Amino acid sequence: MRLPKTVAAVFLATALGISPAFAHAFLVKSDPPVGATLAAAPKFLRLTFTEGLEIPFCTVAVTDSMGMDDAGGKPEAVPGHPEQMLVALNITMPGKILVSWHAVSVDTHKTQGTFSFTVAQ
Amino acid sequence: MSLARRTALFILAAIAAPHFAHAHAVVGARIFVNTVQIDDPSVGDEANLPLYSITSPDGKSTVTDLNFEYDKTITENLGIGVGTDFDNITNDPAFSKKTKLGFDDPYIQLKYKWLVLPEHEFISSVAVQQAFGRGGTSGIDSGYDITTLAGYFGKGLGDIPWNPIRPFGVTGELDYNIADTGPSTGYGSINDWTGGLSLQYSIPYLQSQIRDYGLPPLLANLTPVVELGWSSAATNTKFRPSNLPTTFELSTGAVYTSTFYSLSTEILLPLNGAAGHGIGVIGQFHLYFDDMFPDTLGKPLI
Repeated sequence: MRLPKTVAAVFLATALGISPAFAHAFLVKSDPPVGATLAAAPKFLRLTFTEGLEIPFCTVAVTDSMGMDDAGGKPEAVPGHPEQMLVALNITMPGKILVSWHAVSVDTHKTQGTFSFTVAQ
Repeated sequence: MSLARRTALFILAAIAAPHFAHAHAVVGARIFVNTVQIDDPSVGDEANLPLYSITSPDGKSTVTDLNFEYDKTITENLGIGVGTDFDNITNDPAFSKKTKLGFDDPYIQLKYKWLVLPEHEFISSVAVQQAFGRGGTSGIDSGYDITTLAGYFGKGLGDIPWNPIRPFGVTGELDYNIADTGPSTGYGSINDWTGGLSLQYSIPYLQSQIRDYGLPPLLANLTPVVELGWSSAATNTKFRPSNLPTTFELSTGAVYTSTFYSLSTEILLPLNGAAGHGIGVIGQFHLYFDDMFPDTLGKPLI
């Protein structure tokens, strides 16, 4: 494919929102949302990235308001959604919950980040 | 020195200035976007197609510059870049107001990323670049070779515990440009310092690390940027350093970052008389080969 066609294909794919197969994995969405305040403690954390993930090499640490970092389980794959990971939560007290994630995309690019959400008193 | 001669000297210094890849860098969750006045602090597999600028150094003449560059990683931390510029200079007294059209100095750059601290969103690189001043179009190229020693850094403010400033990032570059001793332009070969700083406000970082405001994709992928560029003579084989004035330029605009490419536009403003009197416009289109072709063109050679 000549370069102009390659460029056009890239533009088209992006414009149509087609997820590329390989790239750096950046967090685009979290459920619960980044920075949100929740009325009740969520049971699961779902993180959606820009790219497919190598789940065995990804880690998520969930730290509760008392500083205990065992409020989340191991990341699990979401069938049909290679760009997502699911973490079971065990939040026992209200307050600020810190989420630190390390992601490895399918082409081994590494990214990491930290955000928080709050469980109301 | 006459105005025409000063203008000519400025133009020659401007088009002979070192050129760099203006790429992007990823550190943790931080993307230091491609900037137009300074290079980013990382190595990568990407192409710049092209950088387009229209500047009016003296308020009358116009310089249009198309930059083409390709960057390739040799190892994860070592990269090489090659490129050149195609210039169109019009209405310039230095050229009797005749249009000058041609290629600027071709250049090659070797860059090494020596420090990355993802938890502090910090990265630093060093580079050496050789510009071949007799390799372009006579009268457009500088007429002498330039060796550049450069240092770069990038620091995201995400580790500062105050949310309003966490989306900000700062990048910087400092170069020492060493000219060889064979001037053919009649204006002497010039050693000088160049550099700059960029201040970036990352909306993607805001959305993914601080608070998800549910912004639409066009806005969510935007990074507003302010840049300050600077150049100052160091030594000169024919003229005293004071003959080449210190210049300061400010540029501001925004960068749209997608997975495979980025688009940016900035307005270039001279901050002192030596930097010119006209307003310039710079645009860039970048292709990220490391994300487009991670198994072939976009991976390190070793």
